[in-house]
Amino acid sequence: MSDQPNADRERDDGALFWTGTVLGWAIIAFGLKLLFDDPEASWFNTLRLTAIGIVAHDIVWLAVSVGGTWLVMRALGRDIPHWIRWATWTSAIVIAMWFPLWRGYGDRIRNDTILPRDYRASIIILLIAIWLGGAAAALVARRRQLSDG
Amino acid sequence: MSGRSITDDATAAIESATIDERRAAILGVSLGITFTLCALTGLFSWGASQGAAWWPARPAGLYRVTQGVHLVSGVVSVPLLLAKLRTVAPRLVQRPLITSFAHAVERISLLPLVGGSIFMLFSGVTNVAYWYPQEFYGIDIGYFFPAAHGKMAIVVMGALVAHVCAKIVTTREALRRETVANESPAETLDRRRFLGGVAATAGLVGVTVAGATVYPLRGVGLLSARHPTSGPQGVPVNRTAAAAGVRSVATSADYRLVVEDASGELAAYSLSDLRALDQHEYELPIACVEGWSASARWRGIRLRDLLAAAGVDEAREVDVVSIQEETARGRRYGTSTVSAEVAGQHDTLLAMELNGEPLHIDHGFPVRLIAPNRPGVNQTKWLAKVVVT
Repeated sequence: MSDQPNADRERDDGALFWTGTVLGWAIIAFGLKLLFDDPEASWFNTLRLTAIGIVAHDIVWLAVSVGGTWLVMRALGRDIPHWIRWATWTSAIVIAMWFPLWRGYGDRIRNDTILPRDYRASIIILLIAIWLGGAAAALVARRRQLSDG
Repeated sequence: MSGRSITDDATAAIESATIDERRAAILGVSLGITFTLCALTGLFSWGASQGAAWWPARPAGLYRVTQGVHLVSGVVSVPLLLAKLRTVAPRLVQRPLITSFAHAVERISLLPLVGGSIFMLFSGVTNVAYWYPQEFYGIDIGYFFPAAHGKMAIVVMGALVAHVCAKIVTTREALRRETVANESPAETLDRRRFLGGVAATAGLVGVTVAGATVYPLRGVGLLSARHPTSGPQGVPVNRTAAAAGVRSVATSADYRLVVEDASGELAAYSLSDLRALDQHEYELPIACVEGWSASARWRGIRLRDLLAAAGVDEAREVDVVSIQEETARGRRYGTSTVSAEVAGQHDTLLAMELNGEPLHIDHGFPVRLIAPNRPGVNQTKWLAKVVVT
């Protein structure tokens, strides 16, 4: 997803680039045709969600990424230990991914074999494990560094 | 922060995210692998559920493996994709925004790739979590998951082909370089820590869902939406009898399993007639599109024996039709086609027992299909008819 201009394209990979572009867009067009032709895919809703994804990436993600990093740096200073950055990032991903499990949306299906666990407890246990694991890894690395140096 | 403007800090934040081509290349290759695994296993799942001729009847557990790989590689892709977006996002605002026609084409090709990838992972994760949102901030986003997810996968793979061809030279060069130009040892360490952290996160989220299908990981499958032994008779259920609206018909004393062809009814069997036929027992997995699977002992009549008893000389392609096909609710998946190859397998059963007990109604009482290497949606429950085609 890098979009840095490749100055050597005309010389090195021009043929490959254009072949890939033509082939790729042919496949994209085929996929879109299937999407439009399938009434069950509800193409309008699918493309709308995809557009939301693009906006989320290009407008929201970039702004949040830069703004969030600036705020965290301002609040904590530049020397945030790596393990804290990792644990924060990983915790955010776990919560964002499994928010539906936390809320128990699947329970509405009324099937006892779906979502058999206490997912709030699971997520909390996982978050604790992430922070403890991160701290332990940092401690081990620190000790190794001290013994080496 | 004295002496520094917001712009300076924002620039530093961007620089901290823009590490190097090598980081982007490693993440790109990793995503390429997980996305390709997802696409291939998704294609297998589509072929298996559609009864494609190229999908084999054996090995019996192949679908549970491919769909387990689909689940884990999809979930693992989420942190990889976020890390990749985090790494390359600042380049979106580099000036000039467009340098050539080719560059403009390359940037446009990112739209289906990024938007489609986010859609795929979002829809996949919500489906695994059994969240079927009808509303999203007031917007109706209803769609039929397999149709939308499958078709959008083709769009994403097309965009991936274009992206890989655009970036393969840059990526190869970045991976070949021993060191990154102008990178200090501290920055090298930071890059390695970042990538190590991403790998750890990806591994962590993968392990916590893999327990839905990998038995040894059941204990740490904290976020698995299923437990392989949780359910009536120790096996999970996807659609209950209540949800399918079949309870009264399935438990009726008048129940008959009819075998028919184009000329009409060939035979009809009551439950006691079926129990009087030769019974066979096999251990077969049941594996679902959501990625969970479970092994169980199934006992019943071989499909080929039933066809022979009804006067059908050889194993033929048949449609197995559920009672739910005749009810108002749950018409989807009410019928599935069994190829002649599958119908002829020794362990393709019309099962009436599960793990040593009569089938629980949620598992398809009185009779259900269980066959090797088929998706759970095609292991039709509450059978009413077997139609020779």
